[in-house]
Amino acid sequence: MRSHDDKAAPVARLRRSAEQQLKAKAAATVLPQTEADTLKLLHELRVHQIELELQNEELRRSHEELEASREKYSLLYDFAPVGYFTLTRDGTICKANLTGSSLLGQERSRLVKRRFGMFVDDQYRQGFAGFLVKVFANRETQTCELLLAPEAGPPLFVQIEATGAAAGAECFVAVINISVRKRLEAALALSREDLEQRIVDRTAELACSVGLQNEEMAGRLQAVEELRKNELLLIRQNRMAALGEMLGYIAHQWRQPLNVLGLKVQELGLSYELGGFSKELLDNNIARTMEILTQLSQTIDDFREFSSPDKEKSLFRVDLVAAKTVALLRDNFTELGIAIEVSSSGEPQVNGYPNEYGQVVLNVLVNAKDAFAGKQTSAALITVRSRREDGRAVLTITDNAGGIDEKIMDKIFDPYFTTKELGKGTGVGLFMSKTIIEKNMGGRFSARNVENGAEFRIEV
Amino acid sequence: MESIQRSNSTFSLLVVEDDKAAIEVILLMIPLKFPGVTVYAAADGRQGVELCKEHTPDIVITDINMPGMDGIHMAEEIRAINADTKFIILTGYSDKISLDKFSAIGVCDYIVKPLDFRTLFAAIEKCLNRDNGGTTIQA
Repeated sequence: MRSHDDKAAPVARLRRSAEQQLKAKAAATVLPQTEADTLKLLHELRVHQIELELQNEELRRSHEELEASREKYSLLYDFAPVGYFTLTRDGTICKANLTGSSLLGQERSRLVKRRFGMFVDDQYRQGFAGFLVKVFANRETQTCELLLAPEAGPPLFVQIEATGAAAGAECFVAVINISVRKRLEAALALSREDLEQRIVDRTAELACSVGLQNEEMAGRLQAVEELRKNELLLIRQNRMAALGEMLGYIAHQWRQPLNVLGLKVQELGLSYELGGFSKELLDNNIARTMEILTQLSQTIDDFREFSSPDKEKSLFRVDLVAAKTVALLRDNFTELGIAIEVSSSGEPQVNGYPNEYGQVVLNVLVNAKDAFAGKQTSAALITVRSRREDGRAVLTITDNAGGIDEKIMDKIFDPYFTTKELGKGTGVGLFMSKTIIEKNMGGRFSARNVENGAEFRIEV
Repeated sequence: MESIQRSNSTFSLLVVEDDKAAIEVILLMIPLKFPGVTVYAAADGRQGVELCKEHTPDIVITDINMPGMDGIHMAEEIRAINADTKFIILTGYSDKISLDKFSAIGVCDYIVKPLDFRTLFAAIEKCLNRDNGGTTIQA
């Protein structure tokens, strides 16, 4: 605010100047001659004086308005959020607002006449000089970003906008503090870098884990391969066991007819020597001998057929395979007092491996036979039934040997699990049977207890 | 081939064998060799025991594995009826284990199948000789 003295001084100056002008004009002035003239002049003067006073009042009011407006703009100028500078062509500061001075870290009074460039970081000074040249050469607003090095406080990143003044000797410069933005940008760049690094790391990690997984997969494949090999081994073991079993049956089956053959041949000799020899006896014994020889030969064929592995899937009748297998065992079972009943309906057919299927039937039958061993079963009976059920061939083999202990029911299909004494069972029979039916033929092989015994069910 | 001579002794004999074809020939041949013999035939152990009760044969020739009552059980029962009965066992190779049980009962001879008549005749002779204090009556 201006003091009262400041206001009074121009008024006195005005008075002095007016009186001097009046003195100069006095010579030419014609004084009034009459009273009327004097009165008229006085009236004129008074009106003039009032006019002046009105004018003066008007001027004073507009001056005050101006003053207020100036005050307002000065405040706006000083407290604008942007630093304002007026610079000369060589970058000397003419004017600066408060924000500007605080940006440069220096009082306003000490800024005037100093070069703006002195507050610019060394690295940017050269660039700033070029920028100023561009500002004065162009009418358009120029923009640049640079680092300020204030005399007090940390360096600041600023954005500068400058326009040359119309006269061409000065330019107006607006300085915006963008340190926060820069910091955010830097932080952003950093976090982006971090993110990118993390992506790189994660990608590497993933690649590594894919590698590990591949390794694991290879390991698993190898394990599966080993399992398959073991399984093949088991299949072979079971086949050998089955063949051994079969050979036992054949040996047994042959003993009887061989005995009869021997007797028939000896009969010829004995009756020739001791009496009773005749053409009829000779013919009969030859015929009977040939009959037995054919029968023995047939047994070999059956055995060979049974023991040769299937190479390809073929359509076969489940009931016929079961009947053949039973035929191989029947004599032996009968001798042990075990009856086998076979029944079938609907000619059930399966596309699969008939000999392997027969092997399964043999396994189950032999198990049933062994289940009777050491048990006092009055009428040991194994029932083999086959039928069609929902388009599938179902074969059940049921015995009355007392059933399977429920405690071991879920173990009987495990490899090497056996209830037979050492050396009697390989423990692979049921496991192999399950593999043959379920893996090789896509069927189901299961067991359950029924009244007085166990029932095995083959469904393909 | 050696010549086979008829034997003259009078005795009774039971053959227990489930193989029909075999028993037919045996029943024909034994009387050829031993004209004085009375031969009975049974198809299983149970029948064998019944015939023994009825005829008390001197010698029992039996198979081991038979349906129903097997040779061992039958021999035990026959022993209980007549302690003097002689047993000749016809056996297959696979019946070795059963032989031990027969030993406990006391048998005259074992013959492994396929049956050789010369061996069977010799076994019968052996049984008869023991019975007759070592003399074999021949024609």
